[in-house]
Amino acid sequence: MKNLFKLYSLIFASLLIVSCGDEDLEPTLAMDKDTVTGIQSADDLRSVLNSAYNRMTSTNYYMREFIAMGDARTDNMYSNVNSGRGTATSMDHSPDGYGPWGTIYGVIAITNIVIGADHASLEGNPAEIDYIVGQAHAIRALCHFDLLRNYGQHFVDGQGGANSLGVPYVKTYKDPANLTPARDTVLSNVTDIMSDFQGGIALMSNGALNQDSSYMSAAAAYALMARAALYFGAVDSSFYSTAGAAAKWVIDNSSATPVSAAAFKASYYTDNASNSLFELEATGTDNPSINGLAYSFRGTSYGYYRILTGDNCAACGDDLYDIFAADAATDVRFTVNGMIGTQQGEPTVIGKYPTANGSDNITIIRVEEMHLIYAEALLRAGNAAGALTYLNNVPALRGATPYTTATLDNILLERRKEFYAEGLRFYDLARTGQSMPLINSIKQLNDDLDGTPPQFGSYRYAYPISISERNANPNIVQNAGY
Amino acid sequence: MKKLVNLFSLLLLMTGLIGFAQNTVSGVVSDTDGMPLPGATVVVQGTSIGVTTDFDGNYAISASEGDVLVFSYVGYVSQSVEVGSSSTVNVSLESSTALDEVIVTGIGTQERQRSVASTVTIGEEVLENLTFISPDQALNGRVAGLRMANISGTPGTASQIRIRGESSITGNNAPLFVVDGVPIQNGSFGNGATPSIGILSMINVNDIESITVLKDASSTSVYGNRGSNGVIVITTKKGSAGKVTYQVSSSYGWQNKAVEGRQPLSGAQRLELAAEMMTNDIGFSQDAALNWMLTNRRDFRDWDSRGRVDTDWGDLVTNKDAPVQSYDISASGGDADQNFRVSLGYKDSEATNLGSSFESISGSVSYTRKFGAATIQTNNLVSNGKQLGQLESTAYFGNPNLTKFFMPMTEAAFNPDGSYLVPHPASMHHTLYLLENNIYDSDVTRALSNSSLTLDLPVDGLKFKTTFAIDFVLNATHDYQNPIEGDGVGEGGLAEQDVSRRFTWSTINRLEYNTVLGDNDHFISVVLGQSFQKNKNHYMYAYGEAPAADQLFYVSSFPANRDAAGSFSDWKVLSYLGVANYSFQDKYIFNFTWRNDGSSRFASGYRFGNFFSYGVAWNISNENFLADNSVVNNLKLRASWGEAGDQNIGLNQYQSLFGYSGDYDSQGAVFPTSFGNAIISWEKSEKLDVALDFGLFNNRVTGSVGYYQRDTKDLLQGVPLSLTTGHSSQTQNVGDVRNKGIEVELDATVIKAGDFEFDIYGNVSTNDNEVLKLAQTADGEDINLDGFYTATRVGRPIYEYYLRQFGGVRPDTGSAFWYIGGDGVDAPVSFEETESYNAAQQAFSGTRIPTTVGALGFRFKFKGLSIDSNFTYVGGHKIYEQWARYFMQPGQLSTLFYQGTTELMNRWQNPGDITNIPRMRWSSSMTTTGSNHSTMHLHDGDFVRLRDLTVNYNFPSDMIGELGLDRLSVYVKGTNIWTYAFDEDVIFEPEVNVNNGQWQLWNPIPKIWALGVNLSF
Repeated sequence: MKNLFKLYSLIFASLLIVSCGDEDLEPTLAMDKDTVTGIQSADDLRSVLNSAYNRMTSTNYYMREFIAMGDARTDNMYSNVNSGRGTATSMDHSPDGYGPWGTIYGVIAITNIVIGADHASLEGNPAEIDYIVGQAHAIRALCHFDLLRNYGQHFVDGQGGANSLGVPYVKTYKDPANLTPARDTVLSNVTDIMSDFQGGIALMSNGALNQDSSYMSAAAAYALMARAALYFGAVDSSFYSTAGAAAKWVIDNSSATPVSAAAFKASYYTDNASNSLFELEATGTDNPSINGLAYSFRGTSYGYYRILTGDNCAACGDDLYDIFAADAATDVRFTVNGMIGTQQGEPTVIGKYPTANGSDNITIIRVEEMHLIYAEALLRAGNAAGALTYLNNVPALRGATPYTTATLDNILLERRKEFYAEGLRFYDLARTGQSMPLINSIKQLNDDLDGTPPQFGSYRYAYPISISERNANPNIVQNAGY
Repeated sequence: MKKLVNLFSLLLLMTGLIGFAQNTVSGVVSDTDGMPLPGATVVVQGTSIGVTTDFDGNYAISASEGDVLVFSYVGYVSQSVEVGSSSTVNVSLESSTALDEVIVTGIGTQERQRSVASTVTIGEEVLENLTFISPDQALNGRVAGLRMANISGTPGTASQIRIRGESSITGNNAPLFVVDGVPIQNGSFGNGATPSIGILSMINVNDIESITVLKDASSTSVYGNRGSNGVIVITTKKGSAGKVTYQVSSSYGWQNKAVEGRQPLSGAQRLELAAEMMTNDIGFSQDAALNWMLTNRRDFRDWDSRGRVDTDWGDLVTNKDAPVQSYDISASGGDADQNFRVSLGYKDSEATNLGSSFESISGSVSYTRKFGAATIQTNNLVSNGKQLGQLESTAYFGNPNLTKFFMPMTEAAFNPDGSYLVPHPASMHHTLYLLENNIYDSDVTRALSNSSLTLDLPVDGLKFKTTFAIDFVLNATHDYQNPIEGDGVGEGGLAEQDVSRRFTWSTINRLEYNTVLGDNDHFISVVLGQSFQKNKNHYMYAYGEAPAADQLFYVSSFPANRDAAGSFSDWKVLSYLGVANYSFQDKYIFNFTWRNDGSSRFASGYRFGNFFSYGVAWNISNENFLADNSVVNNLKLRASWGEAGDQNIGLNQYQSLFGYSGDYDSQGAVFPTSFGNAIISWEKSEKLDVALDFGLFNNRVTGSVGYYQRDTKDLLQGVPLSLTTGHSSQTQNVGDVRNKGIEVELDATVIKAGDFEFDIYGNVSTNDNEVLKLAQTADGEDINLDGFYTATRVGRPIYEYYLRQFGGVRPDTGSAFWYIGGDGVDAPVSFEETESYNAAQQAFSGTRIPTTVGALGFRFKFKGLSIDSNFTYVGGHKIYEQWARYFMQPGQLSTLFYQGTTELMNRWQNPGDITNIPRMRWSSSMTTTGSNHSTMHLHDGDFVRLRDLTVNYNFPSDMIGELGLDRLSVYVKGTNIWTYAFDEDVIFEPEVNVNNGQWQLWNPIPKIWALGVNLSF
């Protein structure tokens, strides 16, 4: 009896000890997959690339801040600081850092996974794989361009122009030798950006995937390359012709056509409208809500980007009302067409961001810009007559008076009218060497309280690089003035 | 399964092995004062024969000459008496003054004099009369080396507990909680925006017999894998032999803010300051500026047209005299073979702001049954808690705590007809409306079940115990945001619901052997154990927008933009344990602990870690030279060294993974989740303890003095990566942190004269926190963890304040100035002054971690009356008021967009003004107006708080005996009723978030006055 007792106790005691070991501790992987085995087909590759688009819809990239950064610092818009938001976009740059740096590099990392995958080993149509990799190249180019124009030092006094500090151009994912990259020069960035656009276009020229404008395409890559090259013209004027050629390619070869006056307003709430070259898909369930771009224009509590209106001081420049004054009754882009509303007693942009919950797709680039880029390229090449034709293609479709001469001022004016609140204005002012115009000394956040907005060459023409990057990466040099 | 059946049939057989025929022995069991002890247990040693005493302490039991009778009674020292020729055995039991003689360890109990450990136990005398909601509150001020703070005053919220400083930089510093020998899930449910619901608050204080804090290596290494940050062992109440006793207790209290805090500007003050910005910077005359404000600013205009009536928003959202109440009833009883306890508890508490509350109901059953050599015991607790919350913590416009500081008094709350003014035209939300119309609730159900079988094996002193425990936490949260006002407007109203299930089961097998050899000279105790714990988590979430009608609150009624999520995860820990104790004549004690743990959080090959500890103690008072010393009754020198570990990282961190939760254009979007690091393994803490315990003057003065050092090595932390990698951090085993300090505990009976007694008790501990090593880049440079206002560097405490040095305000211009500063590492230290915020450098500005934590208590007793007061002190650290950047900004934020506090009235106005508030500027920039992060908002954190004041009266037994009661006591209890901050600028709550040292926008911590009654019969 006693022996039996002992025996049973020992058996019982050892039951679990015998049955447990290292392999019982293998964690369940129910939600994720190992990266090593995660990409096995063209479809897998495309799913990975989808996350690049997904990350581009972050609120501090194209879903809000990045667009605002292009307007809220300028003579178009300002932040009324309603929510405490929008001060940094509006010129109050804390040295602690600001902006979409990490988000954009998060997109770049995805493109590098796609580009660095072992394409030959994947199941699926090789042409489709090429096309997907081409999209990744073009997105990588766009991302670095967006980084460069916000963090590059090329417009800041005393930093060396084209040879000043750009951003690290990252071409590999998890490369142990390149985990803490230093900043490349602006010129080196420009070369890499153009090369990535061209490489992407080459790979996408097979047209293997028939996707709508919610995805990168050869036409979108040409269009973005045109935008980038036009901007790079400020550091190397030879890029103007590149910009012109790319824009012309889009005008001639893409299926996108400028929208008519009647269709203008609807194009903002129509997904993949006829003028769209590249846009980011948004749905109701993405639900950026109070954090979305539309809300920042339309909302009350968390709405804070408002149209900057002048206070009639002698030195004050033209606000949006002033530039639309001549065609106020006919131009479909402004008050007459319900594009402008009022929120908390201030005029604000509503027509371009019609749905408050942020479920409208976000336009990155549309074909009208190609006409104005081509016009500018022609003008800079000395062909004023050709420039006038393309310049007037836009007002002709907007119920506006055509221009009688093609000048840089007129082209910039038309760009401002067509693209206000779409994130282009700051870069137009900067690339043409202009200071931020004074519109309203009470509303505008001025540089260091001296009564004037930042002058061209101010350190505020570049955002500071965040403390988190500087902590982890000793090779990063902070921008001047911070 | 078959084996189990065999085992149980065996147990059944065992129960039949009873029965001898003997004589009857009888007597009376009493205490040392001669009072009979009803319900005391009398057992014949080595048998299952046992009886309990009756109401007069009488017993009668069958025993023969030579048998040993064991007399025991809760709270008294057990006594063994050998039956002689007499058939009468009367015994008097000595009070054990709670749990002094036997201490709770990580795996059971141990005689105090044979322990080498550093532990502190909170017994029933503290736990009783707690009107607090969560049992961990009892630890505040009672344990040397333990710091505690309540991040939010919302009832049901988890507290923050730190034992002997902080060791983890990016991970968790919370201790491990163990209930009846089994680690339980700790933490909370919450999304960061609404108050978290602490799952410990699900345990009813009235079901707890004691809480023991394990601090040193020898005690915590028993929980090797998770003992790094200390262990808190909760022992639940069980039944005891004796008649069935019923206990009833109830309390009712009133809560108000412990600290009132800063006061907002009145409408007129705000207007004056707003106009002053324009006269200063725009060149307006004061009249023109006032006129501009009243014409162009809607809020001033409306306020003016209403006759300049201010709205005190802070007052509107305050819940004055918020009630807190609790009711408990329990019954327990038993005999020598079995006992039981059942209980039922109910608590309900509101918060000091409107809209938040916590209500819980709990039940427990405990049953013990002896069958011969086998003892089966089961303890089961089930509770449900429902917390109604509101947005808290940070600047959500719907946060009622933000309202006081951010909603201008110029804004009306009501329409002229008395209805709410919604939608409100201000950028801040109408929080009063939101408090009534939005819903944020958490409903947590928790079940803890712990069943064990203990077998006394046929070898003398050998026992086998197997335990199976279940810990199930079910949380359902529900949010509803109305379509009229607040954050749900853009969606036309929205509802969210989620359900989270966390199930953990544990099995523990343990073989224990105790023996005494050679005339009681050698005491040997050995424990071998093995345990396995598995946790699984299920989560489901649903979302919808735009209901078709009002008064609908759940997702099914919200048809638009439906969204859902669901996930599963699990983790497992496998452990082996060996403990050996040896005591020679109870003079020299040696302890050895070995623990081997394997965790699913690490890769195969890196899963297992070994943790060892060694302890020695010398009971000096047991030496002959102190044997009859009239002063020194107890003197023990003890020391221990050993390791404990931590695995506190997220799941699947060692793997490089793709996540599949994203989507684009309604197609799957696959993104890399963790960077991966296949070689991560256990983090280890090396703990060193040296301490002297003493008892003097008949143990009227007891205490201990000790030194501790805790070196945490190979820290598991998220090491920042360059964002250019597409990842923000990688989990690595890197970095060392040292915590060291002194701990002193003292309890002295100063006066004892007849029925009068006066005691002073207290503790004090110091902490010196230092980072010894940080992660480095490939180039060998430290990866500093610098932030906007803190930095972590080698040679300094974790997250030390790192701020620009505010110099003051220039008397001639009213501009703020800073010292160029610098920390001497990245920039030279300079006291040169600058008026440019950007030109000033951040510099180390003081630690966030208190260097001294202590408590001092005074206890008076006279007959049935006792008065106990406990003051706590926390100090040596700095606290940061980061929201002052807004409400003390001398510019547009405080006067146009939001609201300022009255300190701004001291702003600089004229040349020669001496003040610390700069001139009002026409700017919304915190940088240019001088209110951005700097030492301007950094204050000394030292404060004293009267944490607890209890006046208790026990009615004499002759008075209540007629009522049929065994005990009746009533009490008045004050909690947090007095607070004193040493820094005169700290006119806000000084008990701040432990993690970041910041005063934040949480519901205020309450001061509570409560009345209560306890009775038993």
